[in-house]
Amino acid sequence: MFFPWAPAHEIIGVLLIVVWAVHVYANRRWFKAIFCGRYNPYRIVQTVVNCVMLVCALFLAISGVMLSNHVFAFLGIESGASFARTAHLLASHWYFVFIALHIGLHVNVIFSRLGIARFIAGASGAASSSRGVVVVSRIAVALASAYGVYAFIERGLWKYLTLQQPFFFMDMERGYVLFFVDYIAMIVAFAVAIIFISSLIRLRQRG
Amino acid sequence: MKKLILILLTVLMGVSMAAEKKILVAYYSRVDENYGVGEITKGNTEIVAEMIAKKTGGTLLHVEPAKEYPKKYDDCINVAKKELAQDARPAIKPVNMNPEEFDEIYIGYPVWWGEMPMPMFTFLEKYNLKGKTIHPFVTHEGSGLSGVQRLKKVTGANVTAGLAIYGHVAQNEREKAQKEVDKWVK
Ligand SMILES: Cc1cc2nc3c(=O)[nH]c(=O)nc-3n(C[C@H](O)[C@H](O)[C@H](O)COP(=O)(O)O)c2cc1C
Repeated sequence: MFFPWAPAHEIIGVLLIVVWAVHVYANRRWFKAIFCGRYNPYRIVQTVVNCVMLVCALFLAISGVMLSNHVFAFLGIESGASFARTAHLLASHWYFVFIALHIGLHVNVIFSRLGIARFIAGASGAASSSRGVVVVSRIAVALASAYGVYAFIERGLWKYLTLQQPFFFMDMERGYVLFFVDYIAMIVAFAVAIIFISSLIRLRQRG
Repeated sequence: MKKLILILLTVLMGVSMAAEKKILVAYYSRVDENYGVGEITKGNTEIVAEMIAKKTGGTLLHVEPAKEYPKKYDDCINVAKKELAQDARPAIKPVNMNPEEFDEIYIGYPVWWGEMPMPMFTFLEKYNLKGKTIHPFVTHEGSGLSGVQRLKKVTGANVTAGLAIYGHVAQNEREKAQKEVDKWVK
């Protein structure tokens, strides 16, 4: 549905499950440590976010297999489409929001791996121009977040999250490019929100 | 005076020729249980189709699958999914008119899995509608105007901007639906 070439949806889905499995496996130590040590507020937030993601991913994958018309067609699943359809719609949207929160919680790791932190911190050496880069990137992030909030409302994402919109609408007037722009901006907005919240939590923990 | 009569005659002829434009309103619509409307005795798309036929003076044609779909929404959606996956062409009941003989065709259907229900493919593929003008209209519960790409592909027709009305609006808020139809049909 909603792809110019129908099997694309399923192939991308399978690839994402593979990426997900690799990611979970690579971070298996986090899961093993879940019952160890003390829980401070920050760790609670992180754990809740990860656990919600895990539930979403499972529902998304299972319903995806059930809904498959191509890749998993050989399984011959002929019932449960109504449940699977609703599960897929709900899980995908909640997953999206929580992936954004997850990205926000790990933004330092991501940036240092990608060398972005170093780029911003050490841009061209001179202290003044480095501050310039920081200011410009903060403004860019603020604008992107504001646009993300707008996109969230404009596309009625809350309607999908609460099942007020039971069938997906692909707005062809906005097209595919804006689809990606809008959803990436929403990720930025959610990530920034959780970064703010978690830094508040950390401040309170210290203070 | 002669001139005036001539002008009048041409105008009259023009009007009568326009009136002779043959319009078909072909649609599929399902009764029984459906999403957001419960048990219904007249399909959502059928309600819209009748409004369009009344407004345009067109002929109604209800495309009916030979084998009825399950009455329960949850069962129907399973069957519809399987048909879409297999790109099936479910048999339809015999049709007693030829769409090729019409000048303009309104094609209506409920959006099923983001596409036309498969019996519409069975119906459309029986005829040569290449180059004809098709006005698509759908009822749906959120997906909006869907399935038009495949409608274009399967007919090769000149498909105009379509109309999408919520199924529950067609069923329960007919005045609102009528307004949307009036705005769309010119
Ligand atoms: C099998 C099935 C699949 C459906 N799939 C969709 C869909 O993908 N998107 C949507 O918006 N509505 C979907 N619906 C809802 C119908 O499009 C909607 O109820 C429509 O108004 C039904 O029209 P009818 O009474 O003329 O059959 C589906 C309904 C059924 C029964």
